[in-house]
Amino acid sequence: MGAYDNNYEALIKDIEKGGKFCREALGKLYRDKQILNRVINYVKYNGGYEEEALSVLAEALIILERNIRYNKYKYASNLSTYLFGIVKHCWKQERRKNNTESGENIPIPEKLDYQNPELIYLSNELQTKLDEILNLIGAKCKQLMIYWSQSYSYEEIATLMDFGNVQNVRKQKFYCKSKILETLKQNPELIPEIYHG
Amino acid sequence: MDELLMEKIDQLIMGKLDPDEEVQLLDLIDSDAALKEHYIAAKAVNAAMEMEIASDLRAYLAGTDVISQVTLKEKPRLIPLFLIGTAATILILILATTTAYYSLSDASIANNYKIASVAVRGAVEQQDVYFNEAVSAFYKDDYENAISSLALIENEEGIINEEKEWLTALIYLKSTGSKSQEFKTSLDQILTNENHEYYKQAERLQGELSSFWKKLVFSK
Repeated sequence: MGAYDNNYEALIKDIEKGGKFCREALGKLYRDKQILNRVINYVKYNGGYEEEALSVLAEALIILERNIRYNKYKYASNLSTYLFGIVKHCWKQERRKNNTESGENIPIPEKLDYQNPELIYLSNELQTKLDEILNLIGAKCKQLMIYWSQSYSYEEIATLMDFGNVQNVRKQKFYCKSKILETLKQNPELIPEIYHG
Repeated sequence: MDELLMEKIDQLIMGKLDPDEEVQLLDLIDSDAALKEHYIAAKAVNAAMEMEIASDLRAYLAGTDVISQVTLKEKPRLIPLFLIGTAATILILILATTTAYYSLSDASIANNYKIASVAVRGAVEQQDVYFNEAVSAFYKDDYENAISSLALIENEEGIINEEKEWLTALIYLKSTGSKSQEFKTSLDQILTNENHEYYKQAERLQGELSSFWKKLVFSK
């Protein structure tokens, strides 16, 4: 893991903190030469190109961030092993997607705990519907909810969005969330079918 | 709905509740239609938010200066098969033309015609000595001396004269070429006499020199 061999915990803590700490930690992992080389070698060995390796690593980091935020990362393996496991999964998904588009049928890989296929491999139709949901609220509400979902602290959000104080952020967040939920409750047809189960 | 319950449902969606707490809340949701409605809406909102977060992080990472750390190689471009086919065809044509050029040249054709019957003649007379000298010079590509030696042979009836005419034709074919007047004259001299010792060979030689492939390769 390059410069972070003995500092995995610090990186995980930064990702857990969310906000700018999380971004910086993910950026460090993305720029780490050893991680990059390992991912590039793996992807190239499996018939891919360097550009695809970078893309797969980015997707893997997105999943890593989410899994840490959702407490799915249980420290059972070290961060680099865990991340590389996600990379392998992402690459298989990517190949499966490409081969499906070209008419070939590749079996779905075995599901593992870090898998969140819905995160990356959303169908275009589902993406459009989810976009529509976010557009039910104004741009400011949307931005606030994104910050909040990314675990930005209320203080950070207050500064970033000029809310003055934490209390205003809390109120505004509650208002935005209630608004979008109420709109959906009144218009259940806007909710994609897969979430009705 | 109160904020605390909303938070609990968010934690449930994110898998952050203890197993007991999770079961308890799911039971509550199943038994309350309004709560279930809220839960479904919250799942959709959560998915939409996650999609936005993923998109946001993707953009952030794409802006990270990672490219400079690896030397990206361009994807190898596949050479279309027709280009390979064209190149192979051109190569074959060049080889075929080169081969044809050398095998259909005047010198090459001339080499196919021998004067073996003369070469074994015993040099009992001076005429034969001159002739053998001419043959020897011919095989050494010394055409000037070959012609000079032949010129020393006096014109007389018989085989020696016909051999002299044939050798003269071959010398001119190799030295001045099939289009030269000297060659044409010497060959015509043989072809006007059907009883000439080398008539048939002269006829065959003329046929070869006027073949389609010979004309194609040496069209100039």
